[in-house]
Amino acid sequence: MIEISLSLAETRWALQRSGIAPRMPSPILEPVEAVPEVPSPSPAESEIVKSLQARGLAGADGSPNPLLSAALEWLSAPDRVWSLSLFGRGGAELVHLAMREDAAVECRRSADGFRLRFPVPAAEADEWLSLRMRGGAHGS
Amino acid sequence: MGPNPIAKGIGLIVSGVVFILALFLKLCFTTALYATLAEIQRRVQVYKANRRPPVRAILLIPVVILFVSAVLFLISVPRFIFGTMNLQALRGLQINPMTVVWIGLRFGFLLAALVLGLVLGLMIGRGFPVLKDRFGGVLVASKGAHLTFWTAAFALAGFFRLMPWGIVTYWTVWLLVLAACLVMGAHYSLYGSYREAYARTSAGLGSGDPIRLDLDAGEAVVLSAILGSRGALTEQALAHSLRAPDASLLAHPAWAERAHALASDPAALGAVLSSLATRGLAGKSAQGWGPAGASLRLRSAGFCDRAAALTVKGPSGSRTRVVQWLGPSRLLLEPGPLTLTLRELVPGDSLPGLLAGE
Repeated sequence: MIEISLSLAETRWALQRSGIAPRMPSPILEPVEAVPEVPSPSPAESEIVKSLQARGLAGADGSPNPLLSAALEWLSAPDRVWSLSLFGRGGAELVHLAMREDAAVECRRSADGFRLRFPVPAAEADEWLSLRMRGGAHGS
Repeated sequence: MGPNPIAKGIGLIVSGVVFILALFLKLCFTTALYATLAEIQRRVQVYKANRRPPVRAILLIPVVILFVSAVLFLISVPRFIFGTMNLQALRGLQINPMTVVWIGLRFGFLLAALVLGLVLGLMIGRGFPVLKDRFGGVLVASKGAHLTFWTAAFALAGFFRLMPWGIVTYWTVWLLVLAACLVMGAHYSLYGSYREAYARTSAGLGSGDPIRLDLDAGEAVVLSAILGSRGALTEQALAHSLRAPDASLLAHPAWAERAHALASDPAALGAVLSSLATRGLAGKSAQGWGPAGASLRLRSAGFCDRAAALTVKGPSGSRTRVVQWLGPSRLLLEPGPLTLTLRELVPGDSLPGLLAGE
């Protein structure tokens, strides 16, 4: 299981560079719509590439890691999406599971972007749901 | 021949009384302004939550104003009886080293006010309880709003101290601290400690026949209003509460329009109440409408401890199911644009299966 964090600008850039056009309005990637495109080449793009390279999410040639592209592809056009909202005294929390074929990508919003975990085998979706409901921020 | 000593004495007494009255009014004004701002800020929070404040909360304004004003007035009396400060003293104000120190002190008050405002804003804004919500906990007001309000109020008060007519210079910040403490104390006494509220859990649904209800949106919002009230509700009171639907067990944002329509249509509201009565979910007494049958069990739960909602979006459309934990009980709800299905879960029911199942 891989876990990565992406800022909104990094997500926007990776979508651009991977040539992925999310099916809008996408319940998961909707926040990216508000982020302006990253000009190429530009100092902003250099910063993003450096940051992703430091985390192993971009190659030496400055292109997004295939795993990252695959995860975004998954989020952009899923077959099914489970959106789980947990409410409790600590507030509310929302986590998505984008399912396609026999696997899924978990996506939750962070302060300035997304946290992705993948792949979640589709056969384990029920277990994933059970775990999230039990171990959410508001579990008893 | 000098002035008549008696007239001079009377004049002194009259000017003293006028002066003390002016001081008292000024204190009342400052305190009233401050307490009113605090109350307005609190009301905004309450109305944001679509709740009417409890009647006792209305006492907050007179309590704060009268208590703080009375204390400060009593403290002020000796200063004006035995002190040398009076209006004439301000006429001869000249720039000298002491004046510079005096102005410095006033700026110091402004800075102190800012620091105190920040500290109090942080203290009060951290987990400050406003009301009990449907999770039995509290609606925590925005930290930023508290911080902004208290800092701005103190900064404003500190700025007032820069004005030359500062009779009660030394007490202004103290007044604000006292007022803040009183407001904080009043809030805590009115709404209870948030720690206590956080520790509370729902009593659950209790024993009885398992709940299985299919309601349309109108029935759901009316039943929700009935469950949200402590006592029986007349039709007028029901219509009033439907204008500002609360966040009780059955509330769903999609039904707000239906609630508003029922609030302004007594005939439609009557039809929904009749339907609920026929189904044994509501009953009418001399005082008004109240829950009955399965609704009584729902009301006994009071609030839910936590909830999880799963929306499944796929090629065949979208569907949302919600699980509410009410103490030892669990309710499965399926709210749709037009209907609400409720089902009480029994031990052994698989939540993931029920939530995600087709």
